[in-house]
Amino acid sequence: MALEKVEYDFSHCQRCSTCKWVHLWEVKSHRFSVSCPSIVYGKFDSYSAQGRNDIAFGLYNNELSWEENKDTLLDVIYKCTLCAACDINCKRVMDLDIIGVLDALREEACEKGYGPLPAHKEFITSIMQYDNVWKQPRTRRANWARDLKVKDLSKGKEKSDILYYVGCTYAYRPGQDIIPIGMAKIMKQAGVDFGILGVKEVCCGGIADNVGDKKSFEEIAKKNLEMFKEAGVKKIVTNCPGCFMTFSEKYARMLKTDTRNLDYEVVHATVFLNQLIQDRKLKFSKNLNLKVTWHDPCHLGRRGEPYQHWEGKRITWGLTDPPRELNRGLKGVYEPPRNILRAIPGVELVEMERIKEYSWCCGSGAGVRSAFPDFALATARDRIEEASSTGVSTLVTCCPWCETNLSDAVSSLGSKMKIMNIVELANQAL
Amino acid sequence: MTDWNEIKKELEGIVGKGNCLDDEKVLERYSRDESLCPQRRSDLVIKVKSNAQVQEVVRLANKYLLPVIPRSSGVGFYGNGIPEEGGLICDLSGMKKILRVDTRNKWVLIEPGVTFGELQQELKKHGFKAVNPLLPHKEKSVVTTALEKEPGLSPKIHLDEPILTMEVVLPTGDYFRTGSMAVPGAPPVPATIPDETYSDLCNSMGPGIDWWRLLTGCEGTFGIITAMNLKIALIPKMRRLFFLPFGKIEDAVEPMYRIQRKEIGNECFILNSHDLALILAEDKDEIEILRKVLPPYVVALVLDAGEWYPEEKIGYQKEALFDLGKEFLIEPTTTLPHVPEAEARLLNIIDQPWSGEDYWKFRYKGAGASIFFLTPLRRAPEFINLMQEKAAKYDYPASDLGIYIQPKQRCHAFSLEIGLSFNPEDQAEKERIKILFDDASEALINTGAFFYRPYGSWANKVFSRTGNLSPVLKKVKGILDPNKVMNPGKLSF
Amino acid sequence: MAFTKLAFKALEDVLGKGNVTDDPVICQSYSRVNWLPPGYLQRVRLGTDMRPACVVLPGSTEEVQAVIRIANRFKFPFIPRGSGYTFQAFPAGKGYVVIDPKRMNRIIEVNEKDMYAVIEPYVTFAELQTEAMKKGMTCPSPLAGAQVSVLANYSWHGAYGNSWISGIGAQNLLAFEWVLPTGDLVKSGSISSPHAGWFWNDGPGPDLRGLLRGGMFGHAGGLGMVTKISCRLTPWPGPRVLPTRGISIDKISEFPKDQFRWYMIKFPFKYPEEEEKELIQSIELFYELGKAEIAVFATHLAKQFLYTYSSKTKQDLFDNMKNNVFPHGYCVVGLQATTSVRQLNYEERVVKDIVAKVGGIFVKEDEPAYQVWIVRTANEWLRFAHGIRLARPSDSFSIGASNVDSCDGIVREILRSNKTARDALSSEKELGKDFVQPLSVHGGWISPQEYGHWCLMTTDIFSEQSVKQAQEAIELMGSQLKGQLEDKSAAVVIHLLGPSYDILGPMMNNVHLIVKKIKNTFDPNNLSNPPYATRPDVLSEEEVKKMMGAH
Repeated sequence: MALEKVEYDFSHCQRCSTCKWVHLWEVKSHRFSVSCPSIVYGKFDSYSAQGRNDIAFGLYNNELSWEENKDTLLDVIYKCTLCAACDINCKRVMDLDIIGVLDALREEACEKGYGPLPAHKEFITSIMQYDNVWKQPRTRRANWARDLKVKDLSKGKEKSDILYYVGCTYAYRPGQDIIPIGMAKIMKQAGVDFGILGVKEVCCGGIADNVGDKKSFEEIAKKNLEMFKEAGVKKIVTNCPGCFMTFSEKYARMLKTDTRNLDYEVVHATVFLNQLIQDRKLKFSKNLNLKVTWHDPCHLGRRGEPYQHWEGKRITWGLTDPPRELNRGLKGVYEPPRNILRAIPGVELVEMERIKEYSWCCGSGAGVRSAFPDFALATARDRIEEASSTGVSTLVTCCPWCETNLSDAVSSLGSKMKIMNIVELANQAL
Repeated sequence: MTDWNEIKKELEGIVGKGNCLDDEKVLERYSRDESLCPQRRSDLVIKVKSNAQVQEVVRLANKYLLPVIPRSSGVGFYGNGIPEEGGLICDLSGMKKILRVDTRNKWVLIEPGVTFGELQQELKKHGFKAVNPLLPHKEKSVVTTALEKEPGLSPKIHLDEPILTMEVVLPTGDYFRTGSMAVPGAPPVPATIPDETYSDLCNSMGPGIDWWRLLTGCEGTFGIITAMNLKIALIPKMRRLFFLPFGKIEDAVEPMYRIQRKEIGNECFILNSHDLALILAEDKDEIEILRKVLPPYVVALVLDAGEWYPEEKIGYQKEALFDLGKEFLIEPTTTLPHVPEAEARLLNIIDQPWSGEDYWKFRYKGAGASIFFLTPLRRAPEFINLMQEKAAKYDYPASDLGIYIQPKQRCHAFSLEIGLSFNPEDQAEKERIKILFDDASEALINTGAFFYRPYGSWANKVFSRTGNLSPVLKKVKGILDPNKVMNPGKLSF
Repeated sequence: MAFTKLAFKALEDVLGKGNVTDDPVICQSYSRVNWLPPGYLQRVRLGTDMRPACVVLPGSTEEVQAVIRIANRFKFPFIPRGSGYTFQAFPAGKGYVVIDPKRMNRIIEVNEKDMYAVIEPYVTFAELQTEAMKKGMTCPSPLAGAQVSVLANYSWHGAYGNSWISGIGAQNLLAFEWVLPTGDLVKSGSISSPHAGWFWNDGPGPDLRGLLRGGMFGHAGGLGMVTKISCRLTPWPGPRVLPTRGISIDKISEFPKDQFRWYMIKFPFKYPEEEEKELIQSIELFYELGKAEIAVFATHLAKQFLYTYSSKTKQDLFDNMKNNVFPHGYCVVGLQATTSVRQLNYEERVVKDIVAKVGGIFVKEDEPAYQVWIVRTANEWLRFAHGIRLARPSDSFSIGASNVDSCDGIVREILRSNKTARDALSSEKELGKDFVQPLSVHGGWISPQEYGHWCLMTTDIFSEQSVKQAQEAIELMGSQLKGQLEDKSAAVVIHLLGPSYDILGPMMNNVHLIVKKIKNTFDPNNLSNPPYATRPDVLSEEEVKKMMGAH
């Protein structure tokens, strides 16, 4: 039973409500004080980590039953982007694996045959059938690279230590291919030796893991790992924070090892580009004269920490044996994208109120956008209002799901806010 | 119908014959006070000396359904000690013991008849003083002042709620104690409680509910207090008093907010030239001179310091005050026109009750009445203007209005007291004043002046406008006083 | 009493679909609170009976009134709450309806001149303080954490880092709107008078806060629900935005030294043998500071508070204990330049002299205790971001003992109650095995109030979340009460709530009978969070004895 491994965690929730709010020292206004999109939308406490802890307790102790309560259980469990704001907040004060509880609830739902939701199943089926979430033909996966003369590592003839992994959304979604195009151009200009997997590239599988379908995830992950091995990949660079987090954390967890012990190193594009700037291999010459704000994607920021595997048990006083290092958002990727923005002439960065490890989620993650589009849109609208309150004209980020969802919110609000990917901005400044 | 003589005999048995008075002159004296409230006679005046006597008197009152009107002061200004329906005046002014001074925890335990003069004299020996209102009447009871929530001169937040614990007789005659005086097993004598228990009488809250809050402002309708300990303050080692003169009240508003916001100084108040003249004038002739030469409004601010580097403490307060003065183009001064020694004179008297023969509020014409309420300071000019309009309507000279503004808890609220003077021998004038008083009170209440102490005719005006508050208070009254004996007719009861 | 479908329909009609639920999954998230043994055991005992029958989300005072009127019509019990942190905010049996004020979260006014704010029940301390700071003001922050409801905290208890100047919750409460258990609305303070506004708390006539608040606590929702308050704000000369640096558990916050100064003070006594001397000298420090009327923060922290609040992780806490980072308790004093920098410098001079006078020693900036406490955690005292860290040692905790009286009085209570606890707790013996000194049962949190005119204290005990240890903790509470009664300690006076009214009321001039009459008068159907503030019936002596045995 999935819940068994997190029984201590959900049982020891003290109901302090720290999970619901931005780090209390970082609250800068009444308007933008909340950290959990789920409880804002769902209103009742069940839509918070505290509430889900109680629900996990109820399921585990047979106070709730899947047969009788399935609809609400699925609604509560899946109406959450797994942004981990609650997790990071809770771990400031306690040492409970909250994200583990949220994950276990989904795993439990799938184990029992009730989850994932139909919209999620569509994604997973698409991956199984098409190697991507969008039901698109495999043959079109590398269309973005048509004119770029990029190494294809999947054919066995070309080699490179660095795999540039594009991901389904940047590869297939109309208009978003400018990101891999831009990224490839930058890397080439910087003299980076890299390759791609071309049409052989397979979805990272993160969505399957996110929604609790561990079986499908494992299948997809193994496929990818095999390909990486065959291609002799030593380092993966990716623009998509979801893929980044999947390769870094989820694959390590599946293999029951630390991220640092994986056969490859995985680096997000912003970290890579920042390094290029530090190494003076990337320079910006155009003055963009632009005020921007930066949106920290959850999977890059507080969920972007390397994974540390742990197997053991809780002993007296709730200590763990062996000692366990929990991720607390400390080592997420926060500064590299900001350094890039600061390096671009004429770009003035104006921070929003909720940033870095206490950033507000865009609303689309963990299957929410497909299963609960209203919730996703409401969350994104909140973010756009927050961005607008800074007075900037442009919100910059580096996640395809954030970009899509936030763009929808801009349209819905009739706002003039421009949503840009950092690669796009960087290219403009070259 | 019980024989009145029997009742009187029972009462004499409790308090002694000489303390049970129905002499016409005595009844007449107790039938009125300095307010404009109508005269009403009680049936008897009972002078009590102990809590036990009070309990018995109140039990008797319940037995025969007689009103009991507690009075601890030798003087009244608000009518709360005047009976509405006859009954027994329970005079506690003879209970004058200062039971204990705790200099470590900064409180004094007293009986209800202790006056400010008596208390300050005793506390001075220990290096302490009570927080007193502005020049209280020499017969004014300290306990009554605290229960009536009369604002003290110090705007310090922690001194605005001075009451700690109390010994009470409930309207049923039952004995009660509030706060940590209620500790189980405590001895019968409150003064020995700290010695015989582990209670230092410092917690004002409880037991159960916050009793002391319900018992303040109740005008004796919820019970009779027979002992109370209150916070006291150290006598400063060094003091200065500065005046800031203003031509209009509007000009004093912002500087006063800033003084309180920056917590500059201690005792602080605003007086207009009329009230200041009444206080400072050596004699009646000087009153008129001072009314003309003193600035229309004066902020008086005391800077004080204790044992630690007093010069430096005065120094930084003075610097802050003068910086403020520069900003508002006002020079703080220690003198006033015609009163070069104003600083010394005021400092000499503000910790004491009024010592003169005529109470200062009555010096102008022999008698006076005050309209007082709480307001944010920014609305004070509005209310003063309204009062001036009303005064004009009844041909009362605006220059004869006394204005006294007292900050409470720094910026949070200001007590605005408007004094009316009249000749007590002139019935026609008194009647005009009554009408002005009523009309102005009504207008002020309607405009948003907060009459938090709704004495006399204010009670109906206030409580008819407060929605469910009066019914709630009546219910509490009904619980505590099922036979409706305790000062009936007061507030909205 | 049972909550029916008709009642649900009536609630839905008033509040709108989506603001009422009787779904057991949703209600499950209002059924559990672990950190106080009575609450934990109540859940063990009641199981899903502690799950409310329904949860409602009113959006206004009028909607709260409607809910409560419907409760009276259909005779179901209801629980008003804030963030729902203490076990009294949870059902004591089947059929309760929880009133969750989440939609009532407006800050209606922040008045800079008169220094008050008007707020609804779901506004937190962090939000209020943030908005107040923009205008150069602040509000207190409770040790429970700045994530709790201001309104609920002020109505219930409220002990703060800056209680040295602010006092407790009741003293920071100004005017309020109160929906009585019948659904009637009463306004108290200046808001009761037309056009007077929200600025003042007291009157007209008697101060109705007297009914709302109590010995230490309020009526726990037993007399209806407060739906709007005004509350006091105090001057804040500091930055308009709380300064921070760093990420997550490495985050620190430092105030400009020309506006704030922190001091950590220790005493040269052997610990734990001379703990009593350390406490006594700490109190002397407070008495002297009180006479001087300086500082905005002044408190004594036992090791338990220092270790827990400063810990980055549980392992960090235990490592710090092993390394004896805080060998004993410390006093912490904070100064603020309310008047001027010169005032701040003056107060610093006085603090130094007073510390020397009472034999204290300033902890140096390079000492681990200073680095861990002042640098990492001091600004908790302005805004408590980590309230529940008190639960960190054992992932649960309990209040050991409390007292409210003089500074001297609470030292006596600390020493007495800790001695009782040391012998009683198996958890303490267990913890004592592994570490240099035990964590709990030495020292306490001493919070002098209003420049030392009075004082509040609590000690906490760290017990693991188990039935055995919870029962032990409750037995200990009983022993503490027994000890307090034997001592005739002022601590007894603060205990009156729920069942203890019947046990202790007869000892305090039968106050329980009066409060029961109040309960019966204002809550004739006994629907407002029974059994609070007290049960309406008067128990016989035998029934009281039986209840004492059960508790």
